[in-house]
Amino acid sequence: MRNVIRYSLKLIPLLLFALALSTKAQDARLHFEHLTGLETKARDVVEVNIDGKVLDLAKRVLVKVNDPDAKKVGQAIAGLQAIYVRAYTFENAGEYNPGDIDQIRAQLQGPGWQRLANVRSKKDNQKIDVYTMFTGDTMSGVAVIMSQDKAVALVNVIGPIDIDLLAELGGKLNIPEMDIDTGGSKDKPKN
Amino acid sequence: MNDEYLWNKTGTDSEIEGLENELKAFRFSADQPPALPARIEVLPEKRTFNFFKLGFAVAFAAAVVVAMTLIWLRTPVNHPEKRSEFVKSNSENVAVPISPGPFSTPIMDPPMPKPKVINFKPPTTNATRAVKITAKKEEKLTPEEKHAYDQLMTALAITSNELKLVKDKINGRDVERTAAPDRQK
Repeated sequence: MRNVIRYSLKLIPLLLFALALSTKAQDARLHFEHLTGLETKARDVVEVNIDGKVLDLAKRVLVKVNDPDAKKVGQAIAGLQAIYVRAYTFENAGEYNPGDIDQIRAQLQGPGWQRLANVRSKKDNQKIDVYTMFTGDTMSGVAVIMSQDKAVALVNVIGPIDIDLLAELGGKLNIPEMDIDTGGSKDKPKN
Repeated sequence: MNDEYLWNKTGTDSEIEGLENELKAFRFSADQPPALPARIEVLPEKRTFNFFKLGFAVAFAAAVVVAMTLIWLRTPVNHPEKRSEFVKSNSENVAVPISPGPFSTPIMDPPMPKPKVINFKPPTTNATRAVKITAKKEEKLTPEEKHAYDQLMTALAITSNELKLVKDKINGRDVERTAAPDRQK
């Protein structure tokens, strides 16, 4: 009985450490709630929330699919815990409030987030920011914020991913390289 | 028999002493190692006739003879009446005319080759292979798996596209494209 208590006492710090890690990882979660109004204004909307069992299921499919690119994707997201994506495309410029996106960017000014890259272009008033969060040496989150006159895309990744490998995989496998030209006519009809 | 003499060598016992004298050549001596006998006789191995081996050999030989006989009897070229039927049934494959010759004795022709049957399989093209692989991939996925996979791929598509866009900008490849959703909710 005494041994059981002794081992339990030893386990408590480990459990607290694990809890602290998980709490820290959850800190990488961004809040998109105030963007719900954009759904009605946008021409095209993509909202994806994958975590928990759905993510585990998708990872198992990646293993099951006998494709080298799928293996690469599986390798790139092996430690992924969740991924949340919001993407909106508008018919005309000025259909969304830039303040909503700045509010998301403000969340990234909190502790833990580090800006990895930012791109500013006068063409279409394009702004792209990539932020990462690290817990020790381990990546615990990634955030990508893209905004321009007629489009907004927000990506929030919880857990480590291979950014370089994922960037290379654009357009491969079943990941379409969604390079819709600003003045092109590749727009797909909304379902 | 005197047990005292036998176990403790006290007293006398003529019977045991007699045996000891008979066997004194083999008496243990701590000073000398045991000596080998002066002559070793190797008895010749008695050769025995193995009836089992002989029986097995005879049975095997008989089986071979019977098998050869059956094969010989079943070959049509050895029976003129069966040979004509065989040629008739295989006339499409065999172009050797059988004409009665002047000889009364049957001519032993070489065994006729059995017609080959070739199963033609169309070559697998890349297109058919791709269709098969896709079907194989899809037939194994449950609706839940497919939904989860599609959701993840959509999320990764947007993520990878954004990351690639940034990477291209940083590397100086200012491409004429922007990120935008491809799939609708």
